[in-house]
Amino acid sequence: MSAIASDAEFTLRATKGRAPNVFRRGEWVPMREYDENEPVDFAIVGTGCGGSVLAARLAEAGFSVVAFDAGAFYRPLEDFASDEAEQEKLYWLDERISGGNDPLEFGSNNSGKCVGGTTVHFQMVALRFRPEWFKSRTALGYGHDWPVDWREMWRYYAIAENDMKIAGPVRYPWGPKRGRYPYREHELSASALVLARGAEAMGVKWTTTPTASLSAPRGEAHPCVNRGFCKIGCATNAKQSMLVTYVPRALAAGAEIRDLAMVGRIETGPDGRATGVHYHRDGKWRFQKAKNVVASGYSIETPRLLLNSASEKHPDGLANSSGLVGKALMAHTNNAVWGIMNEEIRWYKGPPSLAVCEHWNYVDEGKDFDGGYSFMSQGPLPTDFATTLVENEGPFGADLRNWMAHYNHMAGLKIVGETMPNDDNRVELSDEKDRLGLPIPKVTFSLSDNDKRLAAHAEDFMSRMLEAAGGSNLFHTASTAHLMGGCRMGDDPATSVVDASGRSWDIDNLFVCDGSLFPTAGGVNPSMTIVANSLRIADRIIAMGKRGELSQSAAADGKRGA
Amino acid sequence: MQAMAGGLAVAAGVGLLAAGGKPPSRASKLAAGGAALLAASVVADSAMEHYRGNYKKPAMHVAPIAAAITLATAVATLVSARGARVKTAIFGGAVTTGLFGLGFHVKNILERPGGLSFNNLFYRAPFGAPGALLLAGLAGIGAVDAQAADTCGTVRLRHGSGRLLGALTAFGLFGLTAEIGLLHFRGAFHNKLMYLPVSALPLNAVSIAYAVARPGCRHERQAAGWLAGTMGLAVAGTGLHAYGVSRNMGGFSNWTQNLFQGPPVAAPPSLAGIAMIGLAALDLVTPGSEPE
Repeated sequence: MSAIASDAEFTLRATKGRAPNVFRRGEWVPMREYDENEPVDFAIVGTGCGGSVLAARLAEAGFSVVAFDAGAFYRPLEDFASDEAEQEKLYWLDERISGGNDPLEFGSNNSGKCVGGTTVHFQMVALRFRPEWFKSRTALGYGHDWPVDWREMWRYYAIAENDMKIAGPVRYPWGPKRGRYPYREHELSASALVLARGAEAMGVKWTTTPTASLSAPRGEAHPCVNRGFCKIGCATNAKQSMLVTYVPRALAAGAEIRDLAMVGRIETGPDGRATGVHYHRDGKWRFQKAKNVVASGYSIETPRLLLNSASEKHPDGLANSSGLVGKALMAHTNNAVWGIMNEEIRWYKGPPSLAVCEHWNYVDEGKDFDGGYSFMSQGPLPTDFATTLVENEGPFGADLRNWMAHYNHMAGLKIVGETMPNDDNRVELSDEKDRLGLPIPKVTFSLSDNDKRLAAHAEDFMSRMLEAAGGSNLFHTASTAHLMGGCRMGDDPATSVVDASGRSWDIDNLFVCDGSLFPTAGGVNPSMTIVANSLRIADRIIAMGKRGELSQSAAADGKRGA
Repeated sequence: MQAMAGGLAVAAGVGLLAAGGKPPSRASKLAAGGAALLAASVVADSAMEHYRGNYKKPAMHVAPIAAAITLATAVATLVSARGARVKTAIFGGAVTTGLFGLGFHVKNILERPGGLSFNNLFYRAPFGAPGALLLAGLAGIGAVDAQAADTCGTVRLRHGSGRLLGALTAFGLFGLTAEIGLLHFRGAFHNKLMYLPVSALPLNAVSIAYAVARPGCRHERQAAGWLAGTMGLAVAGTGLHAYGVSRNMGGFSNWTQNLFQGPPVAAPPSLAGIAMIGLAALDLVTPGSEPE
């Protein structure tokens, strides 16, 4: 039984004109509500770094917005326990069939199910893409080009970082000059110092990780106190997840959030255009009319939704004339090297990844692979670490206990390694149905030879580094994290699902806005790029509205040009 | 236990050094008051911060003890002109401790990976903190010196003493600007009021330096106004820091953690200490302020 009595998973909280005030215990904020039979300007499916950002920006521009989330609307101050098992409630653990040579494991490392999405349990690493990655094919010879210039993305990164008050180093040692992070860097933990020491011994640069956790107060959110449970949900609101940033903004601007609302199907009319969404809430299926629909469910659920919305006009699923919906799914390789240090580390303290090395993202010489990787210092909580040990090394019983006895002296380095976009890695619909009668997604994922060479390179480099920092009894583990791709954006309808505005090539009032748009994965955690890209898409949609290019009358009052 | 022993030692010291003797001059009192405030700030701050550092090195005990002795001596100087030599020697000890502390703190900053990096400047031993003890010691010496100058009564001696105290004030204000600037930058100036001390203190420093450099030029009133402003900042700053503490998770109901989490409530009062030293300097250089 859970020690935390939370009814969030069973009881609607965003309803009756109010939604939880995430900053105050037991308090509410007013929420505007929209009629299901009155088409709203935008029905957004998902409230993570795609959906909530878009909901906030579009509502602020005067559009009527309803954003749906399959998960609960949590109150971090009350609902989040310092307990790994309890906090699994934040993960998307609905059944998924996972196959391929390297089947993906879903949940903690890549899928969230709650208002705020995966950011509620993300590790807060707030990195930018290397500029060349936006033109991977042209500039670096692999993957696909993004339909967007890096300078434009750079501008939106700055806005995203300010919106989330990222705490970053005064000077970032790689890539083109960037403006100052809005908040200052956090104090380095002992585990971060291991990376720093190793990097200095190896002669490569390192820096404090730009982190989405407050290093100073912000409004009603408390500054970080190094509690260390970041990855399973921050109970102090220091973590700048979507739940405490864009979601409150969206509500304040007049958007409606519907929690515990699973969207199963996008309805299309006789003309093939989207007319609204079918969603399951409060025990029954409902329908919300909408002038525009945005899929923001991330790399598994967005393709699943589009594929499951097939109709007479769209027999292969929506937006799928290219046949690419669900294709080129990417993950990040998460290979790691661990070791025992002489000194006490206590790596559970503070944000887990406070030091980062992006050397192999920015240096191309000396690589036998395409793509790049960054790596960070680590701070897994006990169960998480024990699971990693058992899955990779297989110790059990007394053996496992002996390993875990070193827990307070362990340190580790783990990569976020780019994988290649490969159309064989994909999301499809299986014949099996879930409890709502929706087809369970079937995910196929295999690492390419290039991906494996990258991981091997990283493990070799990090081993030498950890040894140089004083680590002994090293061992390696492998896993994956994050999801990217599945609904690639591009400049050509034949090779992409949506255009640079996230608008489907096939259906002009259907958009995609989340991590599934990524043409390539990059060697950094994807959240800031998703947020920045969503801000960019929001601006484009608002501009379309002003030019009268949006569906019917889906333009905000006074916002549309004559 | 430690705090009680410290308190007893301080009380005994005050009694010993203040017993009998005539009351000191106004300038001496002001400078001694400044030294006392600075020392008090160091007692609170170093005791707390070194406690947070688990008194990992035995030398970390020295700072709060030396500051407590300095505080006692400064209070004694405030009430009695007796024992000038002993007092000067004790204040000299505070200066030496401050200098050594500075060395330790710089070493602490440099020995971490990153060396002279912002992360180490923000979070390692603060380079400015031992400077406050240094200032307290120098202000104490200045208080004894001011008493001697006032006793002798010649304009030359009084001006000399005033200039020294004025220079000390300006030096202290610039030093504090640097430290406050660094730490408020660490806090990303998230509250616009955090800009106030870093913009006002340097102007105050210039004004006091100017006033003592050219005694009798009627800049004293201006400088006195600035010093009053700095006093005001000390009061407001203490309140704002307390507000800052309240913004941490749990606020003051979780004071055992949040007082450490900061911002340091004990820091802003040191501004008032410096302002008092400045007022002592002005007293010495202002024509017509000679004691009867």
